[in-house]
Amino acid sequence: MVKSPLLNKLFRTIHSTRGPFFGVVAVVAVGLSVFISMVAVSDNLLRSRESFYRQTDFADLFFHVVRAPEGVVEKIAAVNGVCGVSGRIQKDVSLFRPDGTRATLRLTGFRLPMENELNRILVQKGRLFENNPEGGVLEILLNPQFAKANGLRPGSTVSVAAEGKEKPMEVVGIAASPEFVYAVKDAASVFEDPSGFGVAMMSLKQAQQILDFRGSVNQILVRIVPGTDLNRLRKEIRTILEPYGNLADYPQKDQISEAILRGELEQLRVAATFLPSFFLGLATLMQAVFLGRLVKAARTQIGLMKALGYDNGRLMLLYGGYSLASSGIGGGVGIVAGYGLARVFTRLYATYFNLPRLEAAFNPRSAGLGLALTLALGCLAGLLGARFILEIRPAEAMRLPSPRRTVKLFLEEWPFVWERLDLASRMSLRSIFRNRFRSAVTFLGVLVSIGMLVVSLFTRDSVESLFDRHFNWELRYDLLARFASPVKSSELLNLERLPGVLRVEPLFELPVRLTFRGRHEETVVFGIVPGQSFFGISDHRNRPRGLPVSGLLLDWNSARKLGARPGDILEMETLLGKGPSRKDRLTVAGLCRKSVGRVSYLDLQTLNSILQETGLVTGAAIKTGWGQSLKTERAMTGMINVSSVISRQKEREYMERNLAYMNLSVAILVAFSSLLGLAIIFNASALAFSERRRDLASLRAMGFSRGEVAMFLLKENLLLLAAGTFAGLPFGRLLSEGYARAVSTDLFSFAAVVFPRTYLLATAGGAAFSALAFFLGLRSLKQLDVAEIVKARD
Amino acid sequence: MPSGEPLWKLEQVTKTYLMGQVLVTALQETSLEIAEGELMVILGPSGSGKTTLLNLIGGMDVPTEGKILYSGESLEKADEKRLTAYRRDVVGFVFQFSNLIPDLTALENVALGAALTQRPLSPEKVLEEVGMADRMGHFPAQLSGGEQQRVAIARALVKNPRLLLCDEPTGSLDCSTGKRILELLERANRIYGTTVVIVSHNAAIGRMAKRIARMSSGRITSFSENPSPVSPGEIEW
Repeated sequence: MVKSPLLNKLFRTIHSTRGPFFGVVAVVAVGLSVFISMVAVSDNLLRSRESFYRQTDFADLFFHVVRAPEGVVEKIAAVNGVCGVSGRIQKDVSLFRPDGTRATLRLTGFRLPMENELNRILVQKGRLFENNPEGGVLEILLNPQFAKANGLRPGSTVSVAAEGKEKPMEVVGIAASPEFVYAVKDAASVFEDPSGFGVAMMSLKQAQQILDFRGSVNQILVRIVPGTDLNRLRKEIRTILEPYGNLADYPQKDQISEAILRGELEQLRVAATFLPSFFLGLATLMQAVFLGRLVKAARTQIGLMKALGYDNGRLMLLYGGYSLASSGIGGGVGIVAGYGLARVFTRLYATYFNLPRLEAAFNPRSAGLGLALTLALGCLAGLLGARFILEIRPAEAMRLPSPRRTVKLFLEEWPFVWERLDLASRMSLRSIFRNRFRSAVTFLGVLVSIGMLVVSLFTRDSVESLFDRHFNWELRYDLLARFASPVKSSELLNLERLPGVLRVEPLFELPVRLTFRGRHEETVVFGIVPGQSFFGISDHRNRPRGLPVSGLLLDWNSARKLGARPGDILEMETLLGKGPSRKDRLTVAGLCRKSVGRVSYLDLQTLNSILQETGLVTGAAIKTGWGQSLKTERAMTGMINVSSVISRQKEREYMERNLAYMNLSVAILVAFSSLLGLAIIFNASALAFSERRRDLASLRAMGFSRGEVAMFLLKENLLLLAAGTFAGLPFGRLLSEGYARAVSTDLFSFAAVVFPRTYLLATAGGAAFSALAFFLGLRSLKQLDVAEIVKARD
Repeated sequence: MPSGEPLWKLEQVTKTYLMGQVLVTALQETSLEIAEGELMVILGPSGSGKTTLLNLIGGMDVPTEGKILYSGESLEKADEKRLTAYRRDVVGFVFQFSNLIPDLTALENVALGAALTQRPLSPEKVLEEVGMADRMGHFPAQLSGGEQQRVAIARALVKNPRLLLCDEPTGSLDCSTGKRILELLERANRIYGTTVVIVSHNAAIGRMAKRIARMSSGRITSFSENPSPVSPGEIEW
């Protein structure tokens, strides 16, 4: 069968311009693969989250109380709008590791049978605990991350300190819980090592026995009828729980694991819109520019075809087909690569988030949407690029073209500048301004790729600076010991006597509810001694500041949520969970900001007086001698009232080890940005070369060497490259600021820190693109048939 | 034979090209001598090998077989670097199409040629001599075909080359413009002593040269001497 001659011509044109054609294909493929992978990962996460939450009946509201009788569950179930209630116990205890160090275990009791309970668990390995009688074996299930980090498996035995007594427990299984998809202790410990914090799930009856909570619960989980006013219900239930010491209540979205997962989904959403729009937008412009040049170069052929009787529509279809083909191929490659990337990222997410059934799935919606988008952009590029066909008249096209028109530049009005320029620079400048659209696309492409290089590298800078700030400035202790309940500060003397300890500073971590003009915010206040040196405090602009003499140093995020400013008076309600809750009014003395977590500060003495106590502390920050912290940690083994010990060094090492995800995304982004830069330069060089073939051949005939002619060619791109690179650096900085703002959450505050190293690397990227442009020019010049070109008409 | 010692000598030069899958012999066992200061015209129909011969003399190409000597030095084995230097220092080209750089003005195009050599002529003066004094600041797009060709000649002459090779310099021009171009070439030969070789399919042009070579099917078929060359102004075609 004979193919249509136009189709044959299309294939041959693609073949003869395969370099720039595949340059565009690469940019389209990258844009679409980023889009597909981010949407697919986000869909995978969302889908497995939804299915997991549904399967386990994840609660809508969480209430923490000091101690409430189990009967309160029926009372709450009777409230209008409530469709499910569970009462349970949850408490942190210490687990002693064989090496003498300890970890925090969050004991959570579940009523059996579990079918009708909220926040049910899903056994992944082993079996469910049994309802053993009092005094029977204590059976627990662990979350997989903690079990793995501590080498525990079904059949292992652990030793736990509960209510001052050491209890052996048997691990019977590994389970996933919807509230520990990302297992973290609290908002201040998001960096904590999973080996240091785990979740132990056991029968409610046994938990009540060992925690001395018989007949009582300390947490109420509520499911609501869809469409119910959440705030009204929250208020109503809070009133019911009032007599039992209301400690905290929050909706599902503020539950820490869910908040972290949502933050991640938001980051993916930002990345899925932000990155592909650059790539696809630039690919469209590149296609339009290249197609325009193709049409102009084929002026005589198009004129001939018109003379033969081909109409504008068919010719537009022929050249439009060129950009549709590059979009189609790019789209296809993008979909396949996107799913490949999605698999890698989904697997990586599965190591952080314990979501059963988290797997990469093909998502026809995102593939269809992505392909439709690229094809639509391909059509647009086709129309833009092939519009010159309309201007070609057959009779004129057959005649010898007149030389390209050039106009004088504004710069030529200043002879003292213009006359200092060499001929190559004059040629380049005139050519840049003659081909404004093409120059603008090259400039824009370089600007975006340099900007993206800055953003890609910036994520590392930002995390490094966040780490540096958090671990070297905000936290200056080596160990943080927490007590099971508040103790007198004189007890700290016992810690000071431990081997390796250089200095101990007291700390009171007080959970509070702050109220201002009807708004509430639950947060943690650190009570410290003025002049204390183990906690670096900075104001909301990250400038160091000290603890105020009086008043509350309010966390910036909490202030924003409350709408409070320095000088405002807040109501503070203590939620310690032990002893009566106290209320007081405090003036906001200033604002502070922590790079990780949310913490407000108060003078320790003021905090004690609010609690109507003197000299109480809940923990101690400890500085040890060089290399002594493990020794000190082990020495604390026997101290039953110490509930947990956190090592700053271990936390840091853990976080640094776990930057695989970030390194991978940085590497992928750097590769993609470089690819964009290379494709832009490759296409710009190819265009400049094809347009200047005759000029270059005549320069070669005159006696200019290949290197000299390549320099002529480079100068034009070099000016655009230099301009694009220098504009790309501040653009990258702006993008970084936007990105930092978009991905900062209540828990992490990313600063737009760009290290000079990043600017240098991005500039080196620009230099590499220039070198590439030069070598591409040189390579093309080798293939230039000088004698043939100077002889022939265009 | 030229009266003086030949500066360029081609001995049994053959040039073959592979065009697609076909081997084409563009030039066959051709010998030619050109003396310094000579004005020579090579005539022949298209496809006779004129341009191939010109390209070989000008160092744009190397022969498949045979020898090309310039001032006793072999060009047939010269590398790309040596050929570039030869073109830069010795040769000036004028083509059928002016091949001017569109982004440079007339003066800048000529200055581009001047920038190549150690002892160039003054670009302004050469442009004046080709009658383009008042068009120096114009871009090629603002010049007529004849004016563009004059600038192209000025660009070749400004290097003060020993050899000016002109490939169908009047091919795209009307008769009267073509004659003015030929006058310029003849003047360059007379005033600067530049050796000029003109290649053309137009037999009338041969009347301006002392020596004429005729080509056909890749060979020089005859040489003829013209004892009384006429001024280009007197030639009609």
